[in-house]
Amino acid sequence: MRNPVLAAIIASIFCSIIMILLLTNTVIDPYLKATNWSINLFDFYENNNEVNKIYILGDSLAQMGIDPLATGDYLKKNNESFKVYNLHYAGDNPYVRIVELAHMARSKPKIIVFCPQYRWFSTLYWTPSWGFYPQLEDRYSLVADKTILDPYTRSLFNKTQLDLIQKDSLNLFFYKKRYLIPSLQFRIYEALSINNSAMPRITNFNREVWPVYWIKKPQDTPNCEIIEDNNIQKKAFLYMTRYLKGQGIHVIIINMPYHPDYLRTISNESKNNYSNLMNETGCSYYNLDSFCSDLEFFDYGHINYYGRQNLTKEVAEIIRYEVTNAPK
Amino acid sequence: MLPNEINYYLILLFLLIIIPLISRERQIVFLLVSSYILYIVSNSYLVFSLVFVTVLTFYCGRLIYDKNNRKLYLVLALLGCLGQLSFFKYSGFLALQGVSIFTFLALGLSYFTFMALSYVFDIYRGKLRPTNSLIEYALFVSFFPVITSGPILRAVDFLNQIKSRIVITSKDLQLGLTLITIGLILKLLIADNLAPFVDAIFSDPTKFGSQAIILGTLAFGIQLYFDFAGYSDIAIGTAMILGFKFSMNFNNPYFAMNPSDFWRRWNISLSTFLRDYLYIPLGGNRKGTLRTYLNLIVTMVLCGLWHGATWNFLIWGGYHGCLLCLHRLLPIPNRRIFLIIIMLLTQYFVFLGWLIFRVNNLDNLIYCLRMFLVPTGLNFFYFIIGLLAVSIFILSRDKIANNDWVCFIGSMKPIYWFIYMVIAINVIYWSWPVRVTKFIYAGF
Repeated sequence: MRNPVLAAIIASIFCSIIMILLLTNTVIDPYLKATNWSINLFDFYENNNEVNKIYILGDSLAQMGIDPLATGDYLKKNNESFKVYNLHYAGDNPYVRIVELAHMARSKPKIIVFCPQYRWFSTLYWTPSWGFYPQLEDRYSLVADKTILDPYTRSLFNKTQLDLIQKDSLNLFFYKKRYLIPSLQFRIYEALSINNSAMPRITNFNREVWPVYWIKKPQDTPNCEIIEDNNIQKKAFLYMTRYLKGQGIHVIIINMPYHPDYLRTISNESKNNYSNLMNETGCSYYNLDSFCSDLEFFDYGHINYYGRQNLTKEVAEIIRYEVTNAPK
Repeated sequence: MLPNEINYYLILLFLLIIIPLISRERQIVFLLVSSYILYIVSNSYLVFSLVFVTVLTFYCGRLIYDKNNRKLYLVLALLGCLGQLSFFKYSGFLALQGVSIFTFLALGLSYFTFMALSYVFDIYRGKLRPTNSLIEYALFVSFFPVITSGPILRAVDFLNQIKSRIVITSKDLQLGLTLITIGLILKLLIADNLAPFVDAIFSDPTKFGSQAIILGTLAFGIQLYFDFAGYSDIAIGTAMILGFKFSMNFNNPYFAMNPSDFWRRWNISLSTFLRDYLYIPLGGNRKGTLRTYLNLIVTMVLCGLWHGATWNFLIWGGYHGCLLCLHRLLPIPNRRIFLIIIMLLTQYFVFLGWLIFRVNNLDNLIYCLRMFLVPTGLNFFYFIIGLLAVSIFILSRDKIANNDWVCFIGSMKPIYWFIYMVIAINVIYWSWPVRVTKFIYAGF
């Protein structure tokens, strides 16, 4: 065999590997670091050394409902110094959030405020197959080398799900290549100083002002039948609350407000089942499902600017009460 | 194990290191063992199907050559091979009709069965002497680059190439790698990126109107071509690196001037197989006009059925048979403008055929045909874009069709070829999907 061809093959492979490494490390990684919620959150868990901190966990209802800065200010005025973080995730639910449990506990917050809603535990709504694979993939694929699952948590997932949640470093490296085009676009936008909507979401937790509009009757009335079974969401929620309590973290559960019209569609039996589950956790439980008037919503459960102000104050007051009265 | 999986290339690399170091006999044994291991990894116990076809046709070939009861052994080989093919391939069809038998399909069954049959036919027709070596023959039937999706090799071409020791030359390596990279780019960059669009439309076509059905059909025709041509390029390139030379399986089929020309350019190994072993033995065009048309239709219907046991393949085969008859029936004036019109009409009918090929539910097929043939609600903007695309297609025909890009790249000076390889490897890496998409023709 003549050498030049072989040399060309080896050199081309070598150069390609260098180009791939360079593009991944200098273009894709910084883009992901700047824009990916999960990467930022895991970094936040690992690197935030604040002693007096409170995490608010929930979905978009918590995202729109609770202003963390205003909560922190309220506590400060009442001589309680806490840094409050709203670690919401749109479409959050316990079965997905449980993947963060170990990191969350290791970062040692003083208080965790869970903001569940009825839909989380509705058997029909949150079955593991419902949009679950894309949700897991979107949320945890890029931190798959960091996730720590204990045996119980592992037992909640099937093999396909575990493969998504826990990738080795090589597979994670290959996985990142799908972000080449958005990361190049991001770089170009940055270079041209064009305002990019894909900003780091973790820095947006503090001040978000939502539009002042509402509807009288909710158009979206998702099924909320909560039967007395032991579905995977309930298992995950119970395990999370007990685990965090076991780690010495004070856990508060606040049931989020609902539009009155929507609340009427939920049966008393479902509400009782839900209430029993919350009490089963052994944590302080506050039911704010009818806290807001219909003028404070813009759909079945997302509240508007006025609702946000009122709810934030109420949540801050609950936290202050818990901090003052909770057993040390 | 398919060529869009990384393990395929690790095995190839391993073979490239070992093969130059060993003797001819060991090279053949080594290639055979590797082919079987790859087959077993992909297909588990269904390897018995491959062994059965190999042993049956090998011994039938020898018995046919001995001149006694030649027809009996030919029929035996045919019954054995086609019986098994039917059992595996068409039991699924019976299952659809309510008769449940067996629904597993040995990987590449249609390909290696046809290859083995070509060996028996060639001996029967006196065009080939049977080989004395079962190992060499077994390698021909199971040769790993081509077993899953072709091209369908002829024994005479293959067995002649292993008479001497396999030598891997730098020229073959360069050309072979060029073919592999081009094949991968066609598959990963074009076919796999069109796949989600096509699947979204044809998973439930009744949700869509004419525009989407037409665009979906166009996209599927392009996806199918790049997927299959990509596979063929990889297979031929792999074989070339290992010292084997096979003919190309595609020759710009969408530049075909008429239906006959299309079949001379599309899946050439299959169409020549059907021509040599079915159409010509049936009488070809030697037994009058009516018989010629009948032979064409029978051949193409069987071609359709070769793809699978569903109604749409049967209809697709018959449809192409009718197109071939129509082409013979209608005189085409030899003026450039007519030739262009006929070329465009040919492609229109070819893509209409792809619609039949893609939609395997009869109700959906009727709906799609209605949307395709009598389009409604077309966007004027898309119409202009389409017109532009067709004009570019006509103008670029000669330029593209008359250039052998593979040869051009494959014979570049190493320094330029190095630049090509860096670009190609990067394109392949960045376009390689996280989830591997199967080759369409690997399912046939």
